Amino acid sequence: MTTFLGQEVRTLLRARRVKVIAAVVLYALLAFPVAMKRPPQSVVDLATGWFDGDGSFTLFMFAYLDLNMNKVAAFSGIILAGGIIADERARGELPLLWSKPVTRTRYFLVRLTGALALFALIYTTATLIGALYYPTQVSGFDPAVYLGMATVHLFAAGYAVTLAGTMGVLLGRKIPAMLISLLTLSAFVGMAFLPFYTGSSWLGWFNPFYHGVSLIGRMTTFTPVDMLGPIAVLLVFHVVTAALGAWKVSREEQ
Amino acid sequence: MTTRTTPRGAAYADYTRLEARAALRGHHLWASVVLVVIGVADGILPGVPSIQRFFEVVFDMRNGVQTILINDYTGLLGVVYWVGVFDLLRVHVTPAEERRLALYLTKPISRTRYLVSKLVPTAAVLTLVGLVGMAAFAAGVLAFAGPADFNGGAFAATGLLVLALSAVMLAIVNLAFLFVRDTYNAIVVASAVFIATVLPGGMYIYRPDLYSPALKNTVVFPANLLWHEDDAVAVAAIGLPALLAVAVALTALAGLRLRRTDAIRA
Repeated sequence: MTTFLGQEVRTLLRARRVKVIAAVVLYALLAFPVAMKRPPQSVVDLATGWFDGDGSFTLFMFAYLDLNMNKVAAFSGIILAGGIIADERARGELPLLWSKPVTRTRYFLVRLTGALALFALIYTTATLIGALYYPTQVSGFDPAVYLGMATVHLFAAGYAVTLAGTMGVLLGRKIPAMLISLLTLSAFVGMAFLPFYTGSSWLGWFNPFYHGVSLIGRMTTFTPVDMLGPIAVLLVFHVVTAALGAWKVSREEQ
Repeated sequence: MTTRTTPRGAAYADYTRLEARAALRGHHLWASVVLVVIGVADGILPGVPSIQRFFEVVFDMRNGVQTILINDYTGLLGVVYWVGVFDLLRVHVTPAEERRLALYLTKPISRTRYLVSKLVPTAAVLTLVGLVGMAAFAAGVLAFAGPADFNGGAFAATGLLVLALSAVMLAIVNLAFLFVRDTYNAIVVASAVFIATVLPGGMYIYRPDLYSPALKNTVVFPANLLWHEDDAVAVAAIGLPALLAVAVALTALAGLRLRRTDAIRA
């Protein structure tokens, strides 16, 4: 099985769409400080009011997660995982595939894991580059806080991959599945910070992207132990969603 | 020799009708529902003081109605555009990906007819989805904020401008899709067009100093449409025909390109 997973990751690494995602992530990462060079004081004040911290670094983290990484994640998810099994069905390859000595559940889960691994690789590389590059660009930048928040956010961003993969097998056809994944993910991303604007945290309970950014409410105080809560919640989102996809695949007709 | 059992025109009419029926899909109903939900959800926004303040401070929205509408117009563009993108995949990308394109292109149907038969009903359905959204937005504004600050004429003009802008973006995407042979790369292209449209508005939050007044009025979508609400009808009177003409010209280019596609290698 590890051979299969390894090959899946290698295949993805060669795909042009993966190179494009990596290039977009890198470009957004490097160009981003330009967007944050001179924010208006009124916007800094708003961010300080909503979140925790001393202003410009808080605003930087908010914009980094909201403007950059959340949006990149939504698109990457459907591009990486939207066609698992739906592609093979559209090409008429499923009977051949199901005649191979691999269970349907395992096939789905290995390909989903491959897409997740690749996304994590791109995200982690980008984050490490950011940790080296941003201290020279952003005043008040704290690499430890950045790395901690990015680690939690990786699990939320990766949820786009799990959701898109599962939606593909739930709906069976790629185009409606990708469209619904994109609309759902846009809604999640659009409402990720709603609990902070409104002061009602329950508005984010069922939104994985809220859990991915929730540390911004205690940016100056959180410890590594505080990261475990959101990560655990996000893992539950991943497992439940992937299990739903695996169950649907196991019940597929020939 | 084959014998023709139906006259040529009747066969084409059948084909056109089949495409028209195929253009209406389940996701159009869902997209309309999403727009209605957006219309209701945005209605709540001005009631949250920190959100209302954000839109006043950052985008210079004068009242609750404008706060609702700036979010409505963004939602309208996003939903209509992305639903349209997935509809347009059916023209070239999905058939190429699933190895059906050569079959379509070798049928005794001209490429122009193939394109027009797919695009016209799709444009009609998307317009309908957009109008359902606009009706929901108007109802949402009147229900949550009342009629005092609501300018019906400007709202109709601006909503139609947003739909026309979506049409231009979709015409660009449709042309670009003829050079793409799989869904994933097509979505990358579509994302680029979308980001290019909405990025200036997002950047404006953080770097208003980068924008000259003229630039700001042109690219900070959709706030620019609300800043000039009083002139919206005049802007639409010029903008609507202009945008639609651009969309038609781009579609004509797509028709030219499709005519040059090699059916054997497709």
